[in-house]
Amino acid sequence: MCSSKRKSATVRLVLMGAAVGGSGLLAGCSGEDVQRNRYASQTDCVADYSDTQCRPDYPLNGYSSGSALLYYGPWYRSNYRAGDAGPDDPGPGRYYRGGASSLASGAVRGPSGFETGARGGFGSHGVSVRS
Amino acid sequence: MRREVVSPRADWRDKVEALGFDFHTIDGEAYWREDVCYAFSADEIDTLEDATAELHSMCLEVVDRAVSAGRYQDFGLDDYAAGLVERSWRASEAALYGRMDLCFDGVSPPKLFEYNADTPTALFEASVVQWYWLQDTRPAADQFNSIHEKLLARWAQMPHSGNVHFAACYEQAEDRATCDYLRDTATQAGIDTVALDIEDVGWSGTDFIDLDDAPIASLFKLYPWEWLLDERFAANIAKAGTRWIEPAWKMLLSNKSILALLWELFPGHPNLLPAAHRRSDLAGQISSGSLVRKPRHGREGEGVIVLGAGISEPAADAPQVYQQFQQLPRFADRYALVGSWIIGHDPAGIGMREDGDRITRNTSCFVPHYFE
Repeated sequence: MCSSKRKSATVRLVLMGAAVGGSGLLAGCSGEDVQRNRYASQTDCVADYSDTQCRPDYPLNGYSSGSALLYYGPWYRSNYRAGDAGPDDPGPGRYYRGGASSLASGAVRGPSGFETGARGGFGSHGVSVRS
Repeated sequence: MRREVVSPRADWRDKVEALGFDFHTIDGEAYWREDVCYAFSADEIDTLEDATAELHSMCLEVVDRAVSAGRYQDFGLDDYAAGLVERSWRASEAALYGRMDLCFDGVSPPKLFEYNADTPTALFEASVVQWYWLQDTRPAADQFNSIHEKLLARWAQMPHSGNVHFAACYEQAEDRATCDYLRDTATQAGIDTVALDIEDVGWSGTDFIDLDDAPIASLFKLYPWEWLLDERFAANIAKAGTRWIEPAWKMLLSNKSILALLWELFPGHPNLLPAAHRRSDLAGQISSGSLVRKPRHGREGEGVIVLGAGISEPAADAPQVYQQFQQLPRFADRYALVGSWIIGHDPAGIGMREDGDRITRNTSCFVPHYFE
């Protein structure tokens, strides 16, 4: 800024007008409950889903000391029904669909549990905040 | 301070739209007007800047005292909201921006009408659109507007780890412009950003997550705290590690009850109007005889009514704050209001709004300014 001026010296924009949005994994589930399976290892997760569908969990609050890194499968609708599911819904994985015998190897375990999640928990007022 | 009738730029629509300003006309009525402008003297700008800085400092003192004394009931906050406020204040969570609405006629001291400290809009118009107007029409003149530069500097000071997410109601043009502009400034400050609609914020069971399921570490939300706390994910806020922008302590500043507490702590201050939670508490303090009743969480002038002396008031379905009525200065047939911006904790510029009605609303026009 010029030393004697109270206005910005330059005003440059780099993003305005650009499209907004993410990849949309299970987007459109606004208000619906979703869940994902939790695994003790990547091997267990990949046995249930695929490598690209499994991801380690890095919680913002961090792990407590001594706890192991967990893996999660993809989100799927809690009310998943095989015949009714949309193409974007990966479903509950092979273990929950077919039992332990459906896993490729007896050396792997199924999910150690699942976590419920949701979208659409904010935004219900849905009008401009303009003030 | 004066209002001047001037010639608009011949291609002004193309120019402002090229900036991304696509709501210059709303429902067929002009929102952006450059057939008029406001002109100030340097002394008047100094007066506005000084008043804004002092009022902001006073507001922070009220917050500090309210937190120390646990006066959350004065703001209508329950224990959960109070806990969020207290935690964020004690952690000194950083604030980004806010806008004070001031009554100023160029002669008398500016008076605080309210402090939009949580989700102020009209930022893009003030920071960018009127700056380009000045460059095109009066390049040698000055403008009280270093909002853009101060935003870039503020983002560089804000603590963050990794991305900053930006959430708003993107269907609303004004909200989208404000959020996208702030995201633009964060990007220029070297921060990686992600935008998503507020409805697309997810909850993983441990963290708020984006559409790629990535945890949200820092979230700028153009969405009022009182709405967040009224919705299904509210209980997750205290559990999550997300850092909120604006921080939760801004709930106290954006609440009209701050006006009553300011008057209690700084009675007779030249930049304040008498204010209280009960009408009867202002008896004997109102010089004009009239007062204004404002909903504690009102926006866009909604629910604001002027009460003449001795006139009974309609029943209210929400808590209200009473403030001495102060007539806005009138130029031609328009009432003018000064929106004075704070970036971080520093005054950064102004945006002028004007209306044919004495209450400024969402339909009130934005008019550029300059000073000499």
